[in-house]
Amino acid sequence: MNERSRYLKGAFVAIPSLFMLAMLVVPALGGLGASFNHRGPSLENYSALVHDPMFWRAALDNLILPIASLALELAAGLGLALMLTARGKRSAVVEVAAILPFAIPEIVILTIARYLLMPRGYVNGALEAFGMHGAAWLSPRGSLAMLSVAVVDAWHVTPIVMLMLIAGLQTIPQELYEAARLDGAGTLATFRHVTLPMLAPAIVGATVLRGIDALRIFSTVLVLTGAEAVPVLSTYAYGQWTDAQAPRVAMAAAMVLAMVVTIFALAGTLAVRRWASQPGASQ
Amino acid sequence: MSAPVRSDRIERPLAVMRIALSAAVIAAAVVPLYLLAKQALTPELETFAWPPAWLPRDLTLRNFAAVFAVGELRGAIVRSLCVGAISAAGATVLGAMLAYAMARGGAAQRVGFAAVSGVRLLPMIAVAIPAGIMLASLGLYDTPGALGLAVIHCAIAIPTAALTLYAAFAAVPREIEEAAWLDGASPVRVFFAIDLPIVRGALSAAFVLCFILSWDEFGFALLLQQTNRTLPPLLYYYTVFGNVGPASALALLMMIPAVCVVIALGPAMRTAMVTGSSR
Amino acid sequence: MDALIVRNLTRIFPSGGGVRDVSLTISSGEFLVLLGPSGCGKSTLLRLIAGLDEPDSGAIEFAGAPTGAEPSARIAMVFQNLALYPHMTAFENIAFGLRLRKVPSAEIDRRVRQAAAKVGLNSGLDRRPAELSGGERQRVALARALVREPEIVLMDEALGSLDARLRAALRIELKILQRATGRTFVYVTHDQVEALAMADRLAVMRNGQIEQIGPPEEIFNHPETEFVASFVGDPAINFFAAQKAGDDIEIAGIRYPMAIAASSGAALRAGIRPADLSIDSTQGAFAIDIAIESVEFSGASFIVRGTVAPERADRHKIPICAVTSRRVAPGQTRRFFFDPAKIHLFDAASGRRLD
Repeated sequence: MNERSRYLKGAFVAIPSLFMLAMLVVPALGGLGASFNHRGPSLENYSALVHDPMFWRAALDNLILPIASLALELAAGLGLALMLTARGKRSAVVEVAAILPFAIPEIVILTIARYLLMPRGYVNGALEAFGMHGAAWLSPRGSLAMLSVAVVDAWHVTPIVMLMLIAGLQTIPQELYEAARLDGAGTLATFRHVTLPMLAPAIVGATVLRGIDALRIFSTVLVLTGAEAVPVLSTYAYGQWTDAQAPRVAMAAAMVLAMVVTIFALAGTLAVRRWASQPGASQ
Repeated sequence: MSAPVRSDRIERPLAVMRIALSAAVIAAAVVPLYLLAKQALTPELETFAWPPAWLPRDLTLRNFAAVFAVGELRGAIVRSLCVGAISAAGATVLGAMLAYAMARGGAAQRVGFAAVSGVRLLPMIAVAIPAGIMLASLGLYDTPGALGLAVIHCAIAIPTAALTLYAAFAAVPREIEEAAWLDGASPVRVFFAIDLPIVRGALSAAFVLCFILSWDEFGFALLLQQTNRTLPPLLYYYTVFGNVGPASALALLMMIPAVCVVIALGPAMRTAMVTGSSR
Repeated sequence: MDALIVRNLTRIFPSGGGVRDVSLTISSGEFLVLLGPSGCGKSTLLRLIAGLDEPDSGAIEFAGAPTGAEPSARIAMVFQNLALYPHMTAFENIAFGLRLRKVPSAEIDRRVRQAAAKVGLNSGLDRRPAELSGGERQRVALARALVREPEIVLMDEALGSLDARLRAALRIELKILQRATGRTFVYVTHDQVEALAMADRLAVMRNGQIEQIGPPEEIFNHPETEFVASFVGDPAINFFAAQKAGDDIEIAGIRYPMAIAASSGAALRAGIRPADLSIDSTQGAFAIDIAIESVEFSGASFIVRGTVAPERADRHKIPICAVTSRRVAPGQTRRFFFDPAKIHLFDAASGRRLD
């Protein structure tokens, strides 16, 4: 009996895995091969990247943007998590409102954000109504575009970070708080010495998971500001594919992005393992 | 407990902050949605006004009518529904197989987790371009039926389905399967007649999650369906080309599946969302 | 006729439990009980017989033919937590095996109802397990096992999840059922009261091996090893250090005139069951004094616990337990009597019985 079920288990792992392999990994490997191909094996495509200032700008933005977005997500997520788990009444309305930005499809969020941030959009309209000047939130010429993208991205994703941190907060035993209170710790001190250290593994976990996604940012940039204002590696590759009609260079850029993501993921997994095995770590 | 705590000095501003934050959260959710709804339900001229009108003056359903009148939009809605249903069904089936094998432990579990984690790492752009070429060679690129896109969506949704179903399968007691063995059932029979019915709740949840994943998906849809579009890239083009009315109406329509699910499932969705999210 | 023969069966788990070189012959129509503490291998043995697990070595022969990798249709099992299919009604649970074998509907109906009647399940066939009581669920599990008319029914601590009163009641029903159907039952339990009550034959297991097998009375009155003597019987048997002293035997430091066949100086263990110690002097030729510390009333009798008196300065207190029908008071020292024939002697090193 065990033998036959072993065959079943094997088939049940093999079939979906092979399907995913064929549909996703094989093309990616094909792309990898293509990136090293220019009338025969060569590094020509990568060389083209290195010599393109736009590529370097994209690479730089692809690093700055996730950092900015992560910082916002973590801060907002932590604030919301603390607020929603604090003593006192828990409002279902606030909970639903907090999750809503993630429930809404990303393209809809981006559409709304465009209408809010465009030159004659609602945000500028509100600012003018209060007697201030509007700003060029999405313009390629200003430097606000990166900030706008970071804020909108954070807005969409903060609910997830909030949920992860709420889960982390709920693993902190109540007795620790009570002990701190008896020791005379005020709210700030409790936060610094009890909440934050115990929450560290969850924060690291959230950073790694959302960081991997933030590095791959594509639609946010494309829809909100267009690739010229805030180029990132994925939009750069997309541009090479559609506008420049240079598929192999596009693949090379995509591979660079894939490599960055993989390195970050590996580093992140190591970090999570190290943090999760610390004494007093709650996971 | 009766001694005055130094923290009292911070308690009050904290409480104020809490109220302010709650208000901000509610506003951040409600105001943009209200504005979108207003744009969808008022004529385009109103939307183009400057300074922007905060309250609707003229309610109309013309924009929604336009959405359903334009063939391209109708086609996109149907296409998104079909791609969503097909890919969700496929992903649920394949994900169930994978989750079942993983839940029974051993090498299957390790291989399964590795496959699932690895696939989630792949950046869309690195896969979409060569996948497009591959689909073209199969005759599945940019087809009206969007079967190629459905297949790709199915593949990327499998990890979500597998992770959602893993816990459910792991919770089925071993002995119920053993009882079925002794009753004479083969392993395949046990899976279909015993395990699947027991986890049918999780199966529905996985299906819904995968449907929403496909419904919302932008990147592959943009690259693999240039002319026969699904909703997300279409909405992008409508927004960029300035058809505010229909675009807003479409955006509102696109929200329906996910918002229904959030309101209906509430707490259960929270955990599901954390495991199933990815770009 | 032999229903099942187990030859030199070995199955060892990485965690250490399992069975080691077990051989056993099960007669057709008998109620065999496998008794032992947790980890002794009784459940493993049952699962090997059922075909749910594969042995490392050895064979299981089933009425002459070796069992294959398939769990045989002639074996049925009732699990500890019943393992009823939660999404099926009681009827469908019982019918499942028959449906798999493509038995025609009309016959399924007849056989299911027959099996249900046999186990005393009169109503609720159309309800799901969650809607049934503990006792009803038990009957469904039993009916599911019996409906296929197996030659051997295996039960793994099957009454374990029920409350004491229900257990006692179902125990009797099970025994009557077994007699009525004439099928071979192999029943696993760690409860020695249950084992003694139900078994035609009892196999006491320890550390993956069968220490003794035989009818319950034989196990009780004539335990082959110290372990069997101490595991079976409640309250547990009293054990004392003993040795040969010339023509006498010294038990717990007290000499009694009894010649035994052992070498002098060999360390021995003497066992006396609490029930064999009586306050009535006509019940035995030998006597021992007990400094009574506690007296428990248990309905029909009193359980007396104390230490052997007089206490020796060079020895620590020796606990002793007796069961008596007459009330005695704690704090007293009373004399108890026992029959020398009721002394169980074991070699201290090997644990084996001396005769």
